[in-house]
Amino acid sequence: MLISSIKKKSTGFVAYFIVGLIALTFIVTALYGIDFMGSGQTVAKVGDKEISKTEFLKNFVPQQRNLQQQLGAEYSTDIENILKQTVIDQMVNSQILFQYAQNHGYVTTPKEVQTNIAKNEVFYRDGKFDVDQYKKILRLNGYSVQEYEASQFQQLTQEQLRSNIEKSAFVTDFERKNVTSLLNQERKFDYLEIPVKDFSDQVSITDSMLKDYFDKNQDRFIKPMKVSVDFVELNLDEVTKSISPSDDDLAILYDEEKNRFSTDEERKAQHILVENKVTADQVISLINEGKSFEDLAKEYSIDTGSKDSGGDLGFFGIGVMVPEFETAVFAMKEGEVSAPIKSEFGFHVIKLNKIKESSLKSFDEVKEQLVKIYQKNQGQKMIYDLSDEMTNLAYEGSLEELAEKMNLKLQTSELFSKTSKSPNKKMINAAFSDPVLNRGENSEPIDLGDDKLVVLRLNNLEKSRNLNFDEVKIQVEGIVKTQESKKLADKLTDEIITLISDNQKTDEILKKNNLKWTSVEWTKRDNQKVDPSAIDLAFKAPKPNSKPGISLSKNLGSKNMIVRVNALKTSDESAGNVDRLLNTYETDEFYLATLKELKKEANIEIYRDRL
Amino acid sequence: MKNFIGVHKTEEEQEDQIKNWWKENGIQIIGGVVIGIAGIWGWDYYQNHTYAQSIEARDLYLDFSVNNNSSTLQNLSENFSDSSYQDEARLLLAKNQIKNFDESRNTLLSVSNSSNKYLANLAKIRLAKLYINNDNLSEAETILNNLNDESYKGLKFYMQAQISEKKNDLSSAKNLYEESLKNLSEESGLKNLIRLKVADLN
Repeated sequence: MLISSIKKKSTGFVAYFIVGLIALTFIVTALYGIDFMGSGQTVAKVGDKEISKTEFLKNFVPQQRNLQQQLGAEYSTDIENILKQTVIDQMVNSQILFQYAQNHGYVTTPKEVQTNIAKNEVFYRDGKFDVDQYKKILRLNGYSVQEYEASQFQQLTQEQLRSNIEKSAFVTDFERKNVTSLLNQERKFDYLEIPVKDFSDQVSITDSMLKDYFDKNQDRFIKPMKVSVDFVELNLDEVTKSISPSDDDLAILYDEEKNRFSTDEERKAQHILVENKVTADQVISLINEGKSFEDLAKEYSIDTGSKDSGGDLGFFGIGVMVPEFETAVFAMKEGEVSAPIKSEFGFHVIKLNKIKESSLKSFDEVKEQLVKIYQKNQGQKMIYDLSDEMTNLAYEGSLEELAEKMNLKLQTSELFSKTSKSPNKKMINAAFSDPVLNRGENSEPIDLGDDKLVVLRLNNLEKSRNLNFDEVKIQVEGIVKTQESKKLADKLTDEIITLISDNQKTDEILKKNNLKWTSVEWTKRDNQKVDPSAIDLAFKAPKPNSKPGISLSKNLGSKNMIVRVNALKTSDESAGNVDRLLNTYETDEFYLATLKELKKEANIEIYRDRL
Repeated sequence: MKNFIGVHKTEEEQEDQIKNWWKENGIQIIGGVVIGIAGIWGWDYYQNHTYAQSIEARDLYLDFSVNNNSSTLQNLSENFSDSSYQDEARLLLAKNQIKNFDESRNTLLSVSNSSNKYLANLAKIRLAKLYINNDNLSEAETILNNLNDESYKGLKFYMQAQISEKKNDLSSAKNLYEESLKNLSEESGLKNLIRLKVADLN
């Protein structure tokens, strides 16, 4: 209503007045960079700060791509959900730390930011930090210098919470001694293995025991549902085979893709950069007198990047150097020395050394390559159209019709269950989906990656059922036998433990059962040569005093174990870098606890359904 | 808005209406805009000032962390007393004073009252370490009883276990180490060490 009346009267004073008011708002917002527009939906809130979907995706997408490449077909919605959670948690943590830093006046100085960037080897060329390389890499990753440096500021400032704690961490003598003597501790012990299978001859198993076990554990003896499917597969390789381009097609493609086969013109130049025109003129007159350009560059140039190499800048193309410099270089002849050229850096004296003309490979040289490109382009277009056709046919008619119309082979798979390794996981999921399994429909085209599409339908179904006793009798017998043997092994273990302080009686019973102690000389807990269960039990056992320290375990699966610790010693000798270990542990824990506390106090909301 | 521009009036009437309206409200509007702009300006200035102050404090802290210069610390305490860097510098100082119990304790005590409660908590834990090492076990207990933020429970039990160990009350030490295990952060490396301790106290 209002808008239409403004339109009608937009010639008059009223219009000017309203436009004026509107303009004022724009001017004020523009001047002060006030952002009234959000950037999309909010996915999380940390205090007052909202994290938008756009920001989230900026962090999520690269990691998602990474993971998809690593996992291939294994990548699933479950994994994606975990990744989403991880990414949003990281973003929330980072925001929490940033707010903590802001509220308590933590900052990072520009010099720290610079130093940190300068030691990042990604930006190195020839073993040194290189400004051009720096700018190039930022550009490739879609950052401006300001944005990147701001993000470094934020990151370094956030890291301070942890690094400041670590810097002031200390270890007291008591802690050092306590941990050192713990890590240096050595024990001397014997261990006894009581294998369960030793008792299998002594157990007697009756059919009623087996039946009893089977009845009580029916849910463990189920044959899973299995299905087989009919399917047709459409793939790029097959499609492209049928494409044979004419020379005319290839000629057009060659024209379109010329820059793929060409290199741009590049020029190799040296320069001497000086601060003012007087010096530049002086340098030129020295060159005219026959002084070497290299020597003059070393002496006069203020370009620290190139002066030591005689001002050499190597080959470069269009778009690399500042415009004034570029215009000059690309107008010069080989061997020529320029007049002083002014740029934002100062005055350049330039010598052009070599011109590498732009070049283009001939049609015949690249014909084979062109055929492949053509096939791939056309193939992908065709796949796109064909997949549409496939979708329609799969929806409308039978799989036979689809196969016939699209000239594809109708194939049939083996039987498989939900947990089978083959076929592809996506095909299994589709086969067990409601429309295919219960309603007998064709599946939608399933994208298997690598430009492969499959449509399937149910062929055969083998229902899941309880196995009957006869089918699993052997399996049950094995289980029951092991159970009974274990009972005997446990009984013997208990007997030995009650006798253990009486060496003679213990020896007798061991002999009777054909068991023997294995002795282990002084050993530390990180000894890799001794059975890890034995080490674990030995260092869990009470310390020996007048009597040895005993420990046992009946939870090792195929055997029981008893350990008899005879002696224990330790030393104060330094045990690796205990101080560093303790500092790291304490710093990490304090840091994590603080983060947890900050999160507890902050008002955090994550809208999971929007991720 | 509906009453502001009467849609059904003629253009002259509307013009008059607006002119009258402007006469009545013009000064307020201009005043409002000026106050608004001044406010934004002032806020900008304040932020820039705070940032500059923080940078200066950070520089002093970095300088102190290299040179341990007492005049730098004095400068920090006098001119940047509400900056966390003042506390951070004291935490560094306490580490350097570790050979001298009294000095180090006094420094940490001053941080344990900081308005930055996270640094105050850190100072409390470090005080407890000092006290335990120096056999001031009841002081250690007192300072730990003052550490009440939920998230530091794991560390608190860890320190209390060490007190029990020093008192040679090994069963209580074992219990406290086990409590600590339950409360430490999931990813904490300290757990590895404490598991060894628990096994050793069997």
